Amino acid sequence: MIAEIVAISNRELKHWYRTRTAVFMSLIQPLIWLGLFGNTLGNAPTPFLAVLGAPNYLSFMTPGIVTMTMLFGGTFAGMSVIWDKRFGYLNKLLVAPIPRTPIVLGKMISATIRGMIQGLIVLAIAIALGVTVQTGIIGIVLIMLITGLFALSLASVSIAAATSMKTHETFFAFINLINLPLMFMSNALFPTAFMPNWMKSVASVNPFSFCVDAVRILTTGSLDWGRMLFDLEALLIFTIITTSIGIIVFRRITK
Amino acid sequence: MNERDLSGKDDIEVQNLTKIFNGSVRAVDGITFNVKAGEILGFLGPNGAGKTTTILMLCTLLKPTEGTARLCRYDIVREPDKVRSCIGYAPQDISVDEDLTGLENLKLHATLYHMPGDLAEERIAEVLQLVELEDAKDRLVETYSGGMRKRLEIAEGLLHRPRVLFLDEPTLGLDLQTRAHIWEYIKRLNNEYGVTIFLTTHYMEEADLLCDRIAIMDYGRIVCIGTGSELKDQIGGDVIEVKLSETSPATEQVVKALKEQSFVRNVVVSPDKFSLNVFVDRGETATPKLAGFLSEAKLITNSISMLRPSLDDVFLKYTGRRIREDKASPEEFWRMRRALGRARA
Repeated sequence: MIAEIVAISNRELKHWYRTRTAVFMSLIQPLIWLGLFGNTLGNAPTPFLAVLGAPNYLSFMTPGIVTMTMLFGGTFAGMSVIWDKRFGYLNKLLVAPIPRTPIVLGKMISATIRGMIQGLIVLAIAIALGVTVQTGIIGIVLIMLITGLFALSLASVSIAAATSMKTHETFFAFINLINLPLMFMSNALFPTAFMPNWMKSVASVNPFSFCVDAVRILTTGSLDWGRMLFDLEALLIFTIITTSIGIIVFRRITK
Repeated sequence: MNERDLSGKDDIEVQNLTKIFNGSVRAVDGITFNVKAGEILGFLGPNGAGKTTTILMLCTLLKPTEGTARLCRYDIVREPDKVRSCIGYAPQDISVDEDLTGLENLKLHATLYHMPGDLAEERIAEVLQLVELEDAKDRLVETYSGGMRKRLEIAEGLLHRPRVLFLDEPTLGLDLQTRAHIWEYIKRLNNEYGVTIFLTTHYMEEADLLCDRIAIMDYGRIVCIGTGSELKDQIGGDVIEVKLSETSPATEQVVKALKEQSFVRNVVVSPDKFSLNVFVDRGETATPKLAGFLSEAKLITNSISMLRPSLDDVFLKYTGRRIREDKASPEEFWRMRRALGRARA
C-alpha cells in the first residue's frame, strides 16, 4: 500500500518539478498579490490598519496568500486525473492488481506536498519582505502542517470532481467556481467585520477562514490557543469528510 | 500454424459476454469463445465492431451487462483482483507516461505489480533488451517515436510475465517497417515465454500473420472463428486466374470440358472472354493439372496465376461488406485518435 502511494505520488511530483515554467508560474500569482495588493493597501488610512490587528497590511494578508497558494495547488490536483483519463494512463493504473485507494491517495498526497512547497516559498518571500512569524521556526512548521491539511481537503474535492468529469473545460469551470468565492468570502483579504451580514455567516463556516485564522494566530495575532484548537478541529473534520468523499467517489467510478 | 501444443487448458473462457451502452447500444452482443493456453487469438473487424469493448471487459475495466468470462480460471466480475494479477494489457492508445523516462515508466510498473527490487531490475533489463530500447531508457518518453512508444508499452505489458497478454491494435498507426518489427516481438513472446495472446486488429495481414485463430467480429457479434486457412477454405478453395492471348470459338467447348474435371468446382469467363476464373479446392495441386489441360486443349495462355481468398473475402461473405482499411497517414491518424479519445474519455 505504502509503496504504491509513494510510487504514484512520486510520478506526479516528477511531472510537476520537471516542468520548471509551471513551478515558476504557480508562484507568480501569490507574488503579485503580495507585491501589488500588499503595497497598495499598505498606504491605507491608519484607522483601517488598526482594525486589522496586524502591524501592517502585508502582515495581515500573508496568511491569506499562503492559504490561497494551497487552495490553488489543492484544487488543481484533479487535473492529473483528467489527463490520465484522456491518455489512458488511468486504465493502466486500474488494470494493475492494486486496490483503488492508494491510487487516489497518491494523487492527493502529491498535490498536498506540491502545495506545501509552494506555500513555504511564498511564506519565505513574505518574510523577506518584512513579515514576521511570532512563533518562529515551530510556527512555520505548524503553518505548513495546517495549510497542508487544507490543501489535502481541496485536493480531495478536486479529485472527486475530476473523476466524474470528462473534459478540461468543465473541470476549469468547476475550479473557478469554487476558488474565487472560497477566497473572497473569507477573512483572507479583509476582516470579516467589513462584510455584510450574509457574507459574514458564509465566511464563518468557510474552511478557508479557519485555515487563515489559524495561520494568522501563529504569525501576528494574539496567541489564542483555544481558538486555534477550534480552527484545527474544524479543518480536520472538513478534511476527513472531503478525503473520504474523494476516495469513495474514485472507488465507485473506477470499480 | 506452428508446432506448439495447444491442447492444454483454456486461459480465456467467454460465455455469452454482452455489453449494452445507454440501454440500447449492443456494443458486444453475446459472444462465446475460448482461448487455449499459449494460443494467439485475434479479433478482426472494422472500427466500432466491439473489439475494444471486449478487451476492456476481459481486463476488468468494464463490467459486462450480461454473460461471464473466466481468465486463468478466475471470474472477471467476482475476482477482478485475481484476474488483474495474471494479465498484461497494452491499450490501443499508447499510454506510457511521456513526462517520465522509459526506465521510470518500467520501474513504476514494477511497483504496481509488487515486484521486489532485484527481480524488477533483472526483468526491466530483460524486457528493454527484448524491445531494443536499452539505449533510450534514460530519455524522456516524449522524445520517443511512435514505434518506440508502442514497444515500451508492450515491454510494460510483459514486465510482470503475465499468463495472458491483451494487445489492443498493437500496430495501429505505425509505419510498415515498425509494424513488421512489432509482429516479430509478439511472435517471439509467444514462442519464448508461452504467453497466451489476445489481440484485436483491423489489419487483415496482421491477423493472418500472427494469429493461430481468428475471430471475425462485426456489430458486436463473432461472425466466424477458426484458423486463417479454415476461414478461407469456407470461401470455396482458391481461385486460378487464366489470361488468354486470343479468343477462339473453341473456348466455350474447352470451358465446358473444364467444368467436368474433378479438381474444378466452377469456371467463370470474363465478359471480354480473355480471362477465366477457375475455382478449385486446392490451388497448389490444381494449377499444374489446369496448365496441362489447357495446353492439351490448345488454348494459348498468357499467364496463370493463383489468387488466394483473403480474410476480406471471408468478411465479405459473412457481412456483405468489406473491412474498410484506414488509408490515413500516421499524423492524420493520430490526430483522429486524439479526437476520438476526447469523445470516449
